Amino acid sequence: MKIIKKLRVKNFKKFADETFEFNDDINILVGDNECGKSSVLEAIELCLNLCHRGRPISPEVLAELFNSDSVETYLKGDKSQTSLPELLIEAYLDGDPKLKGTNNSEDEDTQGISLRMLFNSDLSPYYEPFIASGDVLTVPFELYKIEWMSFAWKPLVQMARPIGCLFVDPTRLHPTLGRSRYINSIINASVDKYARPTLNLNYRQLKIQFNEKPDVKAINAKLNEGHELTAKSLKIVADITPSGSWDSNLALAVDDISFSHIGKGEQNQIQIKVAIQNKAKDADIVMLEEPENHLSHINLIQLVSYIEQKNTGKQIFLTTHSSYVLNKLSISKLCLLAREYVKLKDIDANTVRMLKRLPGYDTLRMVLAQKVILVEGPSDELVLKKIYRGLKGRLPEEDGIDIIVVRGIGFKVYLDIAKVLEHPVRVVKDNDGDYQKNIVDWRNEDYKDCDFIECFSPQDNAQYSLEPALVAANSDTVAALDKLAKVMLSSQTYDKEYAACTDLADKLSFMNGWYDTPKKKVDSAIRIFDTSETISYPEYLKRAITFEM
Amino acid sequence: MKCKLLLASAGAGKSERIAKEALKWAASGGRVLLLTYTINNQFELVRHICRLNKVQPHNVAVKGWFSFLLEDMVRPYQRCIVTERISGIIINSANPHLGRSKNGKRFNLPGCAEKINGGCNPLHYVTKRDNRAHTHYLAKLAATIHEQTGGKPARRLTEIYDAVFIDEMQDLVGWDFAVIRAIVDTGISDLDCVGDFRQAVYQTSETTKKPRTSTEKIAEFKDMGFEIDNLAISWRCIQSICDLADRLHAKDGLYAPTKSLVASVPSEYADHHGVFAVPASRVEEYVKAYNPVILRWDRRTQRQFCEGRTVCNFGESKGLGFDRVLIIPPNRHAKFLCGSTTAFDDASTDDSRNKLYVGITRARYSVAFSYEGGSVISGAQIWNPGD
Repeated sequence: MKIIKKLRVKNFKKFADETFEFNDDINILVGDNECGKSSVLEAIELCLNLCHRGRPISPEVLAELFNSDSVETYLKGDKSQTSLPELLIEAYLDGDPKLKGTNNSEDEDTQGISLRMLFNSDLSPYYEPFIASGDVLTVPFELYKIEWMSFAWKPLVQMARPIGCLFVDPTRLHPTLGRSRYINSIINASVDKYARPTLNLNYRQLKIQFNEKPDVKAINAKLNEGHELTAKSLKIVADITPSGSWDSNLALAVDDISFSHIGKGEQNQIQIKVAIQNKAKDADIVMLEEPENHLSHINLIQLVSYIEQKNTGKQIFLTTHSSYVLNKLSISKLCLLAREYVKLKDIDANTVRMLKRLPGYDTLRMVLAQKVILVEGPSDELVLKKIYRGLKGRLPEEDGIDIIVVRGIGFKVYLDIAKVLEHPVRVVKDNDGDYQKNIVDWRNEDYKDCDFIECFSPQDNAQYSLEPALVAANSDTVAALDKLAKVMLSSQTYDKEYAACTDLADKLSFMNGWYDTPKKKVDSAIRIFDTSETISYPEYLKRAITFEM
Repeated sequence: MKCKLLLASAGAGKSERIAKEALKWAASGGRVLLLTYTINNQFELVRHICRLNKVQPHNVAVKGWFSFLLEDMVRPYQRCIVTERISGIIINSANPHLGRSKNGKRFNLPGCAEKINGGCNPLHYVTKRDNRAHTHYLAKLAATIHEQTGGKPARRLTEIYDAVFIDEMQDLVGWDFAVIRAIVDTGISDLDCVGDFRQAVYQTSETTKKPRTSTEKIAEFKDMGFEIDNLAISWRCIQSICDLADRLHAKDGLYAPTKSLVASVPSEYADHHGVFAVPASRVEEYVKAYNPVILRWDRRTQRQFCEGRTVCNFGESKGLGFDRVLIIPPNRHAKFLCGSTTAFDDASTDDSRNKLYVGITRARYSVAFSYEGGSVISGAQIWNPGD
């Protein structure tokens, strides 16, 4: 099995100089939009297949690939020949000792392939007049050369490349982007090597048969009757020139509908499955871009379990925005592209197992958000949002603050992820009547040295959850408590039961007693969120939602 | 690890033997590398493989010695001595660092010494202008890199191949043996060297590094732990021709007598087979009668006579077989063919003796040589019909 252990890219797209280490089996690339997930896949395709999204490399393509800062630096500099930017992609591999050597940027004795795009010094006579004109607006990629070699410094040949990767890229089905060639590559991957000549032979015979059909012959006989058009014979024939090989003339059909006309979701699924099966056995690496695209949840579940079961013997790279895909294929395979590149391979094994069984949780939000607040239930979320809107006039998510309700699986899963990523996170948690045990001790047990995990909870054990804390924050005067009760309770409860209480102590004990049972909590929170009344909020909540900007 | 040295006589079918062995390895999933010195012999090996197997299996690689040194033993780790990628090789016919002044004196070209400021000097190994490696120093470069990197090139080789066969090993000399030693030390599962010192005729490089002579080379193989075997048979030459050829190196005491495995002489050659001395005056007549292939020292030998006839230089005839051969013997060859046992004793290299060995062993049924009269070597008949 041939695999990529590590990838180093220099001056490629948004990466000035970056190194990515990978897992041997599955790599789930995750990151915000524009973080370079697809660029990593493109770099792998370039380095292993010497093409960019299926296209051969031309000067126009080169211009797209170079890091814009490196181009900028060149344009601002003295434009000497040596200042021309150079692009480097190195794939550190395993599984093919022929590729071994120390000719790589890290002087490592290992297998690998390096791709360099650099100025061809043989062409310096042409560079001189280019800069002499004074009007240099771009890098002269026309004068560049491409060096594609193993770490043993042996040049590689595209026809006999040592390691193959298959890039499933649904956007390539777009009619303007060489659709048919892309479909051909899928057809090619879907049948085994020996099926190809058989198909071709049968196709050629079919075309010959067409020419021999009586109907066709009859039409042809009339075509040039009496030799009016030409003295020679004129016929309509099926083209049997060698250029028309089967894969450019045959198409895939699903339930008799041509592949390009079936639904996007079905197309996506078929492409991915064909790539994973890879009957042609010419791919060691399969790359999938956002497999969740165009798929309903149920179809996604089926596709992901297909990937999970059939991926043996191939290294898989996929980008995704779906927590389901991530959790189901194992969150330990996560490769996060953020300010720095992090892998999640050291995460607690129990958490991995739990998420595989319960993949519905929004782990990706936890991974990607800059500012995360974990809360126990929807009531906490609503009240926090209300506080924030009161302060800023807009909702926290509009400022990149993501409030995640941890629901059934609790805080542990999310915090285990944060712990490995050292990702700042705030926890708003009920003290459940014992601040020392449930907050202080709880935090110290698993997350003692994790400064980036902050806990927010009332220290008063009587304020064991959100509602008692709210009540306590509004219990200075009867008027304040009445206002809170009016907001939180339904009008029926307020009129019939709350109004019957006579003094503050009575009203307090009613309020606290009312929320002992969980029944009406969310309704109350919604009413708080919707109200235009001003009520007071517990300090710990106000602190939890305040970020230094 | 098994290291074998097979000393095969001319016509023993060693190329076919290597092809068979290689295919056997390949069939059981082994990865094999076949190395040889000349391009002709690379084709020969591929031809033998394809005769037996139709195609060259993907796990059988055939390489020339210089490409092997460059691609496998030098380039992967060259940066410890030469930083820029070595662009190719430059074939030297002599030591490239030796110049000759106007008065004919030899001197060392400046800047090409092995060491510079205590470290390795890249210009000892590559050209300054285009960074090509001198073939004269390529094996030395490989051996030096191997040493400097603590054995990385050979270790890499053992990861790629299970078995290495070196054909025409007699052409290896000096530093080439350091490379073989590197491979032996690293322990590839099987290393087979095959060849015949008596056929070493490519020794153009005037190396000072040992081993140089066949005796030194055999000692070196023994020292590396090679198991030495003889394959003293000929599928090509009839017994009388084998006997004549064997006498050339009899003094060395290294070789077993060659046994001809040619069952019978076909009827069209039956009337004239064996070894013949043809008086110089009757050579034209002889050629007319038997149409032999004429073997000569080089292009300058008897130009007029050779013009328009089937001719071949000794060196180039290696690996080929002809039904009938006529040898135009230069001085030493003539002495030997006239019965002298000391004809080659004062020669500084084996070149002349080996060329005659190659020449004689090209012939299947008859070897003739022109002679100026006097006695002839025993076993040869004087061709003098009607006399």
